[in-house]
Amino acid sequence: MDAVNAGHRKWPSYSVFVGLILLYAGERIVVGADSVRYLFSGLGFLTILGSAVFRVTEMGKVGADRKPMLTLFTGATFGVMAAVVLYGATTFSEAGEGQNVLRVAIHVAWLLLLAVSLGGLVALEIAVFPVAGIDRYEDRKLRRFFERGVGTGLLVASAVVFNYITTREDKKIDFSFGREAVATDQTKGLIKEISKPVRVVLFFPTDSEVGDAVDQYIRSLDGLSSQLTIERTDQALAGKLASETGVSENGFIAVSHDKTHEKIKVGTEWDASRSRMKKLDSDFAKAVVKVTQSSKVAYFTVGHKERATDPASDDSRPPLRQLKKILANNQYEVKSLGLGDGLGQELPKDHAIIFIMGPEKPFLPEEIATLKAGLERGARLLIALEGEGEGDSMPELLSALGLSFDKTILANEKAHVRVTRTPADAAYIVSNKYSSHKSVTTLTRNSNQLFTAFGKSGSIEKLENEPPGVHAEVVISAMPGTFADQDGDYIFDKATEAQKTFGLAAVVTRTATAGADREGRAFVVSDADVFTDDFLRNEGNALLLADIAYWLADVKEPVIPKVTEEDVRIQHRKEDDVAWFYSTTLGVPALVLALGFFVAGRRRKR
Amino acid sequence: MTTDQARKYSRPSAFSGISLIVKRELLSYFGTRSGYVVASVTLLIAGLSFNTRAVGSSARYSRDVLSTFLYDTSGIVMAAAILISLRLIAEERKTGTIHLLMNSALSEGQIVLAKFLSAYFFLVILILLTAYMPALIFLRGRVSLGHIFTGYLGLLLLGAAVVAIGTFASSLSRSQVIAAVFTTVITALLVLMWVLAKVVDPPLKEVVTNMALHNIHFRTFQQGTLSLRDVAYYLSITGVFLYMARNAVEARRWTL
Repeated sequence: MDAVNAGHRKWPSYSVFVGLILLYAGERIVVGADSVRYLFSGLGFLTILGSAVFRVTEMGKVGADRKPMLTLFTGATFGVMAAVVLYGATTFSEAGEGQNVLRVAIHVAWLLLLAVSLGGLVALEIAVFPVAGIDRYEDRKLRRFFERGVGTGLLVASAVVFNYITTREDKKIDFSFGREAVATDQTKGLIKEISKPVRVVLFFPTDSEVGDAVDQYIRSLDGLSSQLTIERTDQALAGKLASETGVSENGFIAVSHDKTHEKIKVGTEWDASRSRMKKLDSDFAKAVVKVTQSSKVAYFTVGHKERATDPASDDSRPPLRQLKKILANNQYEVKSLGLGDGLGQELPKDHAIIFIMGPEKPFLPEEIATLKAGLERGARLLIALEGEGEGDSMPELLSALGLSFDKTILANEKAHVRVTRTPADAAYIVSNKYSSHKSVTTLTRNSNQLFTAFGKSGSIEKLENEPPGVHAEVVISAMPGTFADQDGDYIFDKATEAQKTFGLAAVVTRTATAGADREGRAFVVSDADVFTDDFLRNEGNALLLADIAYWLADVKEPVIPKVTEEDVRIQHRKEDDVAWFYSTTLGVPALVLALGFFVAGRRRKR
Repeated sequence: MTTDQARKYSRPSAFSGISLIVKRELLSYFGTRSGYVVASVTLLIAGLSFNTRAVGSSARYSRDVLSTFLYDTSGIVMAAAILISLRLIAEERKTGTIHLLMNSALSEGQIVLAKFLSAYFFLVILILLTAYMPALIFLRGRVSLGHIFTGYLGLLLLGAAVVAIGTFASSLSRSQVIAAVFTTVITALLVLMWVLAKVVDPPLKEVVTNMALHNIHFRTFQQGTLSLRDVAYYLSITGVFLYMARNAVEARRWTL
């Protein structure tokens, strides 16, 4: 067996590592000050050089039996030094054109050489470590350790180079929803209808992936109208255009008509842009509507403790801030309508929609008379009633509309939204039972995905005898299992409570009388919470508002373009949540466990 | 000796040798209750995280639900991979059966590969058993099948990398506890590389950033993006650690 004498010195190997650390400190940590950098780097290089020189001198002093081992140590140390020299060549020489390939080759070479040499050196030290106290080594074993160390170093360096190349030449395929925006028929219809010139400018760098995706979306609308012009530019290269449209950086779409500009922020990086891309179709349609449409007026009645868009500090009821914002986004000017504004005499002629949102004080007889008269002359009303608290049932106005309202709170033990996770949640009912009426058209089309949520709602019933010229129709009904909670315990009591089909929303049309140029319309909903901030976060509620406004205002353009996305929010319903929870946390794990006991039991019997 | 007898007593091929070890190991997982207990506990944790974190109590987009589920499951996969791999070689050494393996016709590389594959197949089964959870999203949401497949590919690659690290750690010690500690430390170091990347300068910064096991490379899979860079990274980590495990086992053979 080949053997060499012991007496191995470890410090030269440790010096190599110390030298490398000093070099790293000189080149990367104290890089600002030249003198300190040269001190650290120089010391590092000299330490490695000293180690190599010591190994060579040592080789001259030992006998032939130790030479093979020292040759390996010396070779590894010189390998590290050569790698350092090659690294130095890349820092001291300025690469010109055409020298880049050579520079990259030297970078790869020093990295490989360093990894291989260090791998060998570490492997040799590991091989020597357990037998450092005895005086004989197996030369063959040392050599194999060295080979494995070199192999590991080579593999690690190759892996680094391989990963470097795949990172530089990375190819990505995105399989998730929400990356590509798709123009809906609604938006295409809007573009076809525009009667004024609209200029769309995309501010994106030429190599932006997000810019390409936005470009693809906008170009799908190109040619639908001669009024639409589209261009793409880098914000840095189009200073004048950018300042005209108020765009200060790339990642924006500017939609302009004359001197009116709307900006849509998309961003230039996918991570931040993904969520914006989901809304792009909706945002783009809104911007087009905003720059092309003339202003409309939405009146909110006041003076009867209605829900407010900007509630007073002592009003704890959920506000309608989001509703106001949506209306403003759609070119509606929001105004108040009280007794002093003519509510007792005549409805304003410029109104698009009059909102009566959960009044708690009764309207005066002259106000009711004005509303009734207005309806005969083509007024458009959105009446949201209030089941809970002091909500006014507005019996006189409703009877003129062929409807009645029952304030008893509806509850459903299964079809409800989980809000407090208590039995009281049963009063937060949901429904996707829509009629085919135009005022709920989007919801009807997507009834399997979209439901409307109500918070402590009463119920609406159609009167058997409608007043002349009036036609009423229930358009949203409560889900099966809904009951009028007479005792307020949110639990269905067979003896005193009945489950039946309750009306949650109704539309009313009033034939136009002589002198009126259009029919009167009203949309009556059984709960004012439906349009409060929290409830409008539910897509079904938001789209109900869109559909109602579209029908009431009777505009050609969509009032709130549908948010177009392949993805949808997962809403929580008690029965589903319970099924999901038990199947995932108990059902399947229990099944696997039972299978285990069955299999193990059978094996034991054998 | 007839041809049949000669075939019977001849040295097994590498493939049959590896498959023998894999079968034996898988049988030890699935022939006893312990494997099923591990599987059901893993599913229970995944189910709880799916309900409480991914689906949550507020309305969330299906893609976000899937993304959170994949993120949580990646943590469960890493933990499971550490637990599964700790016994691979360490136990053989502790019980002395490593001598039988070393004296078999299989090379060190084949032994390591067989051990890795057996743990990995078990992990793959665990991962695939969770697939019914993203499938549940289809009941009330809309999610791309490609996103699910990409996410699961990421979980499988991440699992392979951690099992390879575990195989290497298990080859270093005869104690399963020490092997588990080694695996956890190496995995944690690789996971935390993105933190280290914040305090180092280029070009080392890019190297360190690209070494981050989870934050950089799994996030793309989690978001439904298949990236060549990330596939290459996980395959490299798996390859490097399996090679080092082979070297470690080979070094033990010399010291036997």
